[in-house]
Order: sequence, then C-alpha cells, then structure tokens
Amino acid sequence: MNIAPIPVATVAGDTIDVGAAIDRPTIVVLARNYG
Amino acid sequence: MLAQVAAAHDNIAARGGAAIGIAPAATYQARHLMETRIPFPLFLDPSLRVSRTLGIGTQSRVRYLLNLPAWCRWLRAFAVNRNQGRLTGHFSTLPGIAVVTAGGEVTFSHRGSGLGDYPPLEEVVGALDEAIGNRSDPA
Repeated sequence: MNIAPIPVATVAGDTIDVGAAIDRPTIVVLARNYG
Repeated sequence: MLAQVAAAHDNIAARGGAAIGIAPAATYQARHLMETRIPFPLFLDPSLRVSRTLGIGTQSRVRYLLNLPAWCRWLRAFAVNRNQGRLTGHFSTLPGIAVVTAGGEVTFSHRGSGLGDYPPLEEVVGALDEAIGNRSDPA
C-alpha cells in the first residue's frame, strides 16, 4: 500500500502529494477533524 | 491523538522520524493548531482519499449512534475537559493512524472504530522504530 501520490491540501491552500510531505518514516495521524 | 504525538514530537524527531496530521476539513483550525500547539504539518483531505486508501474510511449513522465504546471515550474526555471541539468533518469519519516511509509505503496502520480509538502511542512509536530500523526503546 502506498499513499505518496495522493493529493492533500495545505493550510495555505496549495495542493501537494502526501509523498512530498514525507521525507523520512513518518507517523500519519488521520484525525476526524481539527476541532 | 494529535496532542499525544505533539507531546512526543521531540522524541519522534530524535529517533529519526516525523509526524503529520490529515483531517477532512477546517483550514482555519489546522492553521491555528500549527501556530499554537502542533509542531508538525497538518493537511486537509476533504475527499478522504488518504483515509480510504488506508482502509479507514467512514462508518454508518447507525454504527455511529450505537458505538458505545466511542461514546464512553467521549464522556471520559469530557470529564477531564478534553472533549472534542467544534465538529468540522462529517460524523461518519473514522480516526486512524499509520506509519509511512519516505517512499509512501505504509508499514503500519490502525483503523479506529470510532471517536478516540487510537492504539497506544508506544505501539505507534514501536512501529516507527521498525520503519526507521531503530532498536525498540519505549517513548
């Protein structure tokens, strides 16, 4: 399973692939929301 | 879980790892958290593509309403004033956590069954250590 090519939005409004944010082993927290 | 990972961030970085957060919505809340409490990037995934790829996804309305363990976790959090704030996603969104390598490969994932269902941080850090190649050393 690979999630690198999946696009996500930054808080600045840009869209990047998740892989661009992961340059080392990384804990990815999938939150229900940021509230 | 974001708060727990944030509290352990220095430890995680010292091990050679990193952390990011992904949620469906609320750019303004993500920005506020990054400015005040969360020392790693937060992203938005309104279509839940990352979540669905990890096999986490959503739950039905019935499952949401009858998920007693999730309501118990909510009540415990409420009792210590750590209840969830303003809801910005959909009720059906499930939580989860994963460890992902630099190439995007998922080496560990947990699908939460409802609100607040995350594995112990020690288990996640152990999975991170395995991905890094570190010998296990509890966080």
